[in-house]
Amino acid sequence: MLEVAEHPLIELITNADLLDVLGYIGNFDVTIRKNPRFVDESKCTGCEACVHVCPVYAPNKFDVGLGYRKAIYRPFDQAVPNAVLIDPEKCIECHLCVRECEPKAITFDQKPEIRTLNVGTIIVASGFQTYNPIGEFGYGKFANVITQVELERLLAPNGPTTGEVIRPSDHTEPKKIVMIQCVGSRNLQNNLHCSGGVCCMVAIKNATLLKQHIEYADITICFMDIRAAGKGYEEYFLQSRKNGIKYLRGNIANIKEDPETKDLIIRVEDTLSQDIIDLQANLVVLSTAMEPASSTEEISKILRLEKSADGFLKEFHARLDPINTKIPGIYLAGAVQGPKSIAESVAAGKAAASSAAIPMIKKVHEIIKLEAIIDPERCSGCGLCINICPYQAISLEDNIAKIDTILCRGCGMCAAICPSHAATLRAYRDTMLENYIDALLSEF
Amino acid sequence: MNVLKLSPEELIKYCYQCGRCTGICPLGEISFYSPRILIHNALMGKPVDPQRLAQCSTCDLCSSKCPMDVMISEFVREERHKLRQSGMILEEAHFGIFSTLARLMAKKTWKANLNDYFPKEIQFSDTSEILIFTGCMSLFETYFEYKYTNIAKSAVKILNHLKIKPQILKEQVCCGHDLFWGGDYENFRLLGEQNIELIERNGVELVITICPECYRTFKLDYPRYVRNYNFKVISFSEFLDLELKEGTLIFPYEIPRTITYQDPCRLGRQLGVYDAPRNVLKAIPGIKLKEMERSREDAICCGVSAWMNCNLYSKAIRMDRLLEAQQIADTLITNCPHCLIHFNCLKNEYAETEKKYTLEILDFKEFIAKALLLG
Repeated sequence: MLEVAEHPLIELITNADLLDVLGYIGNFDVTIRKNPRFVDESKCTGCEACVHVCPVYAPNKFDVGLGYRKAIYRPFDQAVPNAVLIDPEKCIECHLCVRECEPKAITFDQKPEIRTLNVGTIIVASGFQTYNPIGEFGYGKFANVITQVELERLLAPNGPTTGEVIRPSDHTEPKKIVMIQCVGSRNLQNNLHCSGGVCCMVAIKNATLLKQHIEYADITICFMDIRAAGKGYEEYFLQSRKNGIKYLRGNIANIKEDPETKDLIIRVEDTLSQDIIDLQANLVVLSTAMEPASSTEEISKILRLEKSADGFLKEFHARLDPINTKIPGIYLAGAVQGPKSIAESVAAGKAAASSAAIPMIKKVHEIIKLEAIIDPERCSGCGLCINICPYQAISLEDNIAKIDTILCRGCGMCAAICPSHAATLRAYRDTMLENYIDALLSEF
Repeated sequence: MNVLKLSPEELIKYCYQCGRCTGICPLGEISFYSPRILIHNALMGKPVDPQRLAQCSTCDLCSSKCPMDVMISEFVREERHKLRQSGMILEEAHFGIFSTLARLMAKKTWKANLNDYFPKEIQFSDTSEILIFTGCMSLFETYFEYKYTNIAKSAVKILNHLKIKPQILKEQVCCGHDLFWGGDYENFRLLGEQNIELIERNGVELVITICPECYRTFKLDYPRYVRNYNFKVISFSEFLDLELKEGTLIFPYEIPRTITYQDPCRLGRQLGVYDAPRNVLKAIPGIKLKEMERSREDAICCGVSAWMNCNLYSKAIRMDRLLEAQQIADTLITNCPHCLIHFNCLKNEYAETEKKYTLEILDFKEFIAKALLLG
């Protein structure tokens, strides 16, 4: 990130929302709203003197609510740009920070700034979010049921406990830990899709780390299938078994809390031995599914991109072209296309950068002349084709449909719906097809 | 549940073998019964063990926990049907007398006599649009020691108290629930046809059922397996809840009691009626309604349904449940006459011993009638 921020040819706009995208490859008009951070980025040195005087506390989003931050804060240690920002919902405008700030960087008169950028290509990398398991397996009800992301923050040296793993209820070190896989995924109630083996590997990694933190930890992973598919993954799985992590094949039937010790009692069938077991645990960790980020819906509408059945953005071809989208010049990187591990996300990011670089360097975009054409004498301007076109390539001009030849991909939807047969495909006109059929039938 | 509307045989192909069903199954805890193995064997094409099939109480606790919405109880029912078609006779409790009587009713060779059970002070109307479907209470009374027709009488008395004169059909037959869940679809359809035809002929708009099994059968199984009908069906507790909300049902007398409510599997998990009976019970002054640890969606059943599987295991489930109730309350209210039969059976068995159960087991309708001083 730091390299990107300091690159002379890259302009980094943070804390901004996408409002509108018009145009086509080589000529996109992107409208964004840069939200005010109430701090001048060019003046702020990131000394955090303002943070120390701020009297308002709020849950720290980066630590998934486990720690706290102030109303004026730096999102996290490696944040780029290295500047603080003010949360307008929490700030009480006491202006203590303004007095403390030596470079006079804090300005409360910043307004949202609307900017329009003319760009050649767009890479979408808006990521994913984790499933919120509230109400499932006692999450939100029992104190010692946490998610993998929360455990990861507890394990992190820069986390709220500076790397010390403690249970939320009494801040003691957990000895018996149970991890539950496939929470919020692989079920018909909310999400049938598997998170691509990411949660499996995260659980194995966190269990291995826990074992290093807490020497005598008794860690059990309750799973349905371990999907360790990837380079070195199976070996890592094997290593974790060697380290003494127990794997129990079975899904949790019931979870109860001991009201005195706040320990959890988990009823599970060990399907391999067919025993019904009551597991005792000091801490339960839920491996929650990866699901599309809440912004994906809005982004898909603005960019006119389709979504797959699992709610992630749809690529041009799931096997052969997973980076391009149906719109030339828009590329997908990372988990916005589907659940991905870090390695896959890096690969997708580099692939998207390369794909975007090709037309930008060649300065040429080739289109196949497989496009729809409108007979202006037949067109009645009813507008049916405008609504059905998946690429928004048709507009009305003087009450006659006009096709943008760059956007049109020749799918033929307009030709099929046009009631007056005004729209046809250039290479597949009805007369041509009739001639094909006649020629084929004449052989018999 | 069952979003894909697939048949139970198709749905079992969705099974992950995750073991949630077996972990939650009240039978799995105490015996080697495993719904997961049952499905696994069926998927592997192995013949299904008839004894295992008979053991299932079809309480649907497993299906409610299943990540893939596999309808295990319906699968069990289909398998029982297949077994019956292949000529096998599944063993039933009480020498199969209730199924035999239901089959006689289906063939119209025998009919339950309802005339003697309703005293003159209970008011009926032959032209009323509201019908009360009393189910098999009179049959239970002839076999078991408890006055089961009191439940039906209490229900009608409460309706009379609300100034409703319901219709009662003397020619009504068993709803066929127990035959259906025992896999006898043929006679179930005959019974269903008779009931629907009879109710439609008498110009009934609303059928109030006092037994959760009748309610489930009318609401879910008749439209799917017999035919559609043009009247509405509502359970007695839901009806009372509506009356309570309208303000017509008022409890004037105080009853100082600590009670707990047993969710019947048919009414609770299968039809989602959890709050209606609780609302009515809470409206009685002086009542302290306490919830058992396993209640609502997690409630365990009385151990038996469709007279299929009364044995030591189902008895163990009942003992567990009664102890759970006894720890927090002095009265157990249930909405299902079958729960009442099974819990009372256990209570009577231990009445003379040191381990006797002190709590009183009452039916919902009887309890409400008592609260209104109707008898």
